[in-house]
Order: sequence, then structure tokens, then C-alpha cells
Amino acid sequence: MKSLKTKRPYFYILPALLFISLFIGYGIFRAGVESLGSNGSMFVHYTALLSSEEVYKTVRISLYVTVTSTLLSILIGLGITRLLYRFFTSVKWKYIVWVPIIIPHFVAAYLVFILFSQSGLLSTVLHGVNGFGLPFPLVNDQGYIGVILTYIWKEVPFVVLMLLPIYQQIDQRFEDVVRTLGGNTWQVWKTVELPWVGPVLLETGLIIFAFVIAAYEVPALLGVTYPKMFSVLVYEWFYEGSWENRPLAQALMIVLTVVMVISSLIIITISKRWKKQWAKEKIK
Amino acid sequence: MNHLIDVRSLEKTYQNQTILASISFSVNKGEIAAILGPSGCGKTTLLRCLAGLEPISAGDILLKNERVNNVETEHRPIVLMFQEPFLFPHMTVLENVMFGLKQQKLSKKSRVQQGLEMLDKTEMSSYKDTFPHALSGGQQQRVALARALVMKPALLLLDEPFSSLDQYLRDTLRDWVCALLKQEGVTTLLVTHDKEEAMMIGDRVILLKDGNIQQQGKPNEVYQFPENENVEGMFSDGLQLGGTFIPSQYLQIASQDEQTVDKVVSQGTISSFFFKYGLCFYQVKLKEHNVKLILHSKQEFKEGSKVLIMSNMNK
Repeated sequence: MKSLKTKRPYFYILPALLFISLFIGYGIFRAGVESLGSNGSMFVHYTALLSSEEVYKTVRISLYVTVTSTLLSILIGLGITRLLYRFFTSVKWKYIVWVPIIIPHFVAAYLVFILFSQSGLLSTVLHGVNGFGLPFPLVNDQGYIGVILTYIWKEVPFVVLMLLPIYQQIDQRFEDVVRTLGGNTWQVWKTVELPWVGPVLLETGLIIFAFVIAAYEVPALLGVTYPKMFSVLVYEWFYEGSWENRPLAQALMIVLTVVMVISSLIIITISKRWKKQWAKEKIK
Repeated sequence: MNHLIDVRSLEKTYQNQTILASISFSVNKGEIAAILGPSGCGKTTLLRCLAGLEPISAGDILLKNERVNNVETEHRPIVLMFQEPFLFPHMTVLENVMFGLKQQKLSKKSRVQQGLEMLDKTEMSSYKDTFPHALSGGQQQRVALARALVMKPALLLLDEPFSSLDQYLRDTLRDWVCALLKQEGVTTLLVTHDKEEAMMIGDRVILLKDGNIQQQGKPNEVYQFPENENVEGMFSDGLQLGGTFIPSQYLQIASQDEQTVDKVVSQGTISSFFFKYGLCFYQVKLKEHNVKLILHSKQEFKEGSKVLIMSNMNK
């Protein structure tokens, strides 16, 4: 009976496991098989990736866009959350901050395009004012500013959504304890807020990072033709007339998947350990 | 003047509601003053104002004759200890105790030394590397006290520090804390709603109700000579009769047929009885006042029996 009881949770998650292994697992498996070379070296496509200047630049621009978007979203989201939970606890219209969540990424990218492109609304208004328009391109620019802006606009509400309930759980008297023992705002953040929200910040950061680095529509619409972000390059390699680059596309996606899975495992382990101490306090 | 803290006409209003109205009192150096009052009377708000956690609406707070109204919490030499210990769960006992010392930028060696000394005084040194979740409620409260005392605060504010503990632990810890505070010579302001606690710990008691100080003084003086009905109800035991208060020590229960020279002040019915400290106490429901009075008597009465309440106050 006891073994049946301990096995029951696994039984319940069986449908989910089947779904994941069938649709995601099989997809990754096929991609993995297709990424391997048939003749000579098995990892010929992987070595080709390593020696490709284009891939190197793609990795660089993808990491730059992803890290920047993730960090800025986290920082701005954190700031807004601290403001919301302190000053607007009873104000219902605080939920307006979550409106961007319901707008699809493609629509968000299009809005950024309409607003910030060289022929966009902002440029037109500025042209009317100073006769020059935008001083530098924000959309389809080498710096991927339009892409980063779109992700920040979309992900900040997500960060707030994740953090607000956590902040509302913090017992404010911990802050009072820190202050009465001589601690300043930084100490309050370090001693009370960070240990409490840190794990969620890490997990939220991981979700945003994983999404942004592999997302297609925003860089496709607002990015530049060279260097391309991961998904745009992979899409191009996958669907171009010749099938020559398909194994390369699969190999690049497999590398990305492996890196993300390993990073996720590390971050989730850290986050779990971090949560443990405060969870013990809560249980008491 | 040996006043360590002087509170002058302190007022606190919140959303047009008066929480504290013109509060004035002072506490001498090394003295323990107990603030007693029912729930919602503003006693916790008063402590928070003194600690700087709440801004005050009017009045002055003088600490060692210096006005500290606008001094931020972290710069006031005042430490507030709460009802619950609020130990940082991700820190060990020693790290918790050293937290305040770290803010004072003391060297690590000095912090460890002072932290260990204080843990020794609070009899918690063997738990220095333990995390708070592994401690009992009483032990956690001891660590919280060590964390507060190690700061050597000019004024220690205790906000019902024993209320979250069970009766036995509360009694034990209360005596121990009182002795430690006296030994360390810490000027303390203790908030409580337990009048026995206020009497036992406080050198002086300050009675608060509806944001106003009702009376302050030595516990025995306030107990015996309450100045108004609120104090009589909150702190004293006795009977209010047409503007005159007769303390319980002057009252006796007598059976209706008893011959006595004492003055009959009321009549009532014995509603229940209980034993405490080796004595029998009777709860008498008074006839004309619709109040209940608890009096000790060596004489035996049955529940429901009609009795007389006698006073020998003016003998």
C-alpha cells in the first residue's frame, strides 16, 4: 500500500510526461538525429558552427539582446513592484500594468515599429518640432534597440506579475527590525527582500532569458539582416531553398536547448536551496 | 533632570483619526516603564513613533535632552523588539545577534566577541550556529532580546514580547528578562495588556486608553488610588459606588444574616468561585450595579447564595 501511495504522484503526472516526451522529446530527438553527419565525422555540423563567423556574431548579438532585455525587465519590474506594493496596495488600477501581457509579441513589435521606426510616429513628431526626426534609428538598427524595447515592454508586466504576490507575503515588520537595528534601505533590500524574492527573481529571469533567446517574431520584424538573432538565422537556414543548411539549423537549436536545460537545472537548484530557509520560517 | 526620554504632547493622527492625543511622559535612565492598555488603545503606535517607524503629527520626543523627531529610525539609539522574534531565517543565531553591530561598522572580531558575550548572558551560546527554525519560541525570543541588547541601546522598546508564548514560558521568561534588564541597566519601555506583567516588571506604569494617558505612577500607587473609572477598570480591583471607589482590599463578603460593624455597600449573588494561590475567590454579581466583583473570602459560600458586600475603608 505504502509503495502505491508513494508512486501515486508519478501516476498523476504520467499524461503530462507522455505529452512532453511525445511532442517535445521526439522533436528534440529528431532534431538531434538530423544534426548529426551521416558520413565521416558525426559532429561535422557542430564543428562547422564553431568555425562560422556568422554563428559567432549571432551568438554575440543574441546574448546581448537577451541579457540586456532580461536584466532591464527584471530591474524595471522590480522597481515597479516595490512601488506598487508600497504605495498602491488598495488601488485597483494598478492592474493596468499587466495590460501588455495580453498583447501578442508580434503586435507589440508592430506597435514599436509604428512608434519608433524612422518613418514612425515619434520620428514624425520630432521632425515637426526640430525638422530632423529621430537622431538615430531605434528600429531595424544594429543595436537591436527596438527589439530590446519590445521585450522590456512585454516582460516588465510579467516580472511584476511574478513578484507582486511574493512582495505582498513579506512581513513588513522584518523591515522594521532591520531599521531599528540601524540598517538602511540597502540593508532592508539585502537582508529582507532579496532572500525572499531572490529565488523568484532568478526563476523569472530564467523564463525571460529562455524565451527571448529563442523567440522569432520580434527580431524578425525589428531586427537587421546581419547579424541575425538565433531564431531568425535558424529559420532562414531551415526554410531556404537549398536544404544544405538544415542540419546546421538543427545543430544550433540542439546546442541552445542543451545549454538552456543545463542552465535551468543549475538555476532551479540554486533557487530551491535559497527558498528553503524562508520556507522553514513560514511553516513555523 | 535624569530623564532619558521625554515625550511632550505627542500626537498621532491617521486619516483624520486621532490615534494618540497629547501624550506626555518621561522615563528615567535605567528605569523600566510599563505602558498598559487594552487592544487598539494606541500603545504599539506609540512605540513605533518613538522608534521612528511612524512619523508623529505633533509634539516632541527628546532623547537625552535632544529632539529626535526628525531623526531616522536607523540613526536613533532606540531598539524595538516585537511580539514575535522576527529572526532572519537565513542567518544563524550568532549572525542574527551580530546584525546590528555590523551596521555600526565594527570589526568582525569585535562583533563576534560581543555577540558571543551577549549569547552567554542570554544562555543561548550553545546555539550560536543554529538556524532560527530549529529553536523553540522561547529560545527565539531570547535570541531576539540578545540581538536588541547587544546594541546597548539608550532605550529599549518591548512590544508585548511575551504575548506569543504559552503561560508557563511567559512567566519564566518574564522574570528572567526583568532580571537581565536590571542587571544591564537598560532603560526600557514595555508595552503590555497584562496588568500583572506591568506590575511585576514596571518600576512605573503608564495607563493608556483611547489614545490618552489615564494615569501614571508607581504600580502600587496607581492600583490603590486610581484617578478615574478607566484606571479602576483597567488596573485596580474594587467597587465604584456613586463617585467613590472602594479598593478590593477594603471589601468583604458576608452572608445576609451575619452581624457586622462594617458598612453594607452592596448586595449580590455568588455566581461562581475558583481557587488561586491557595485562596478561594468568589465572583459576586451585584444587584444594583449589574457588575461582577471578584473577592476572596475565608468563609464558605454556595453558588447562588445571596450575600452582602461590606466595606471597612473608613475604619
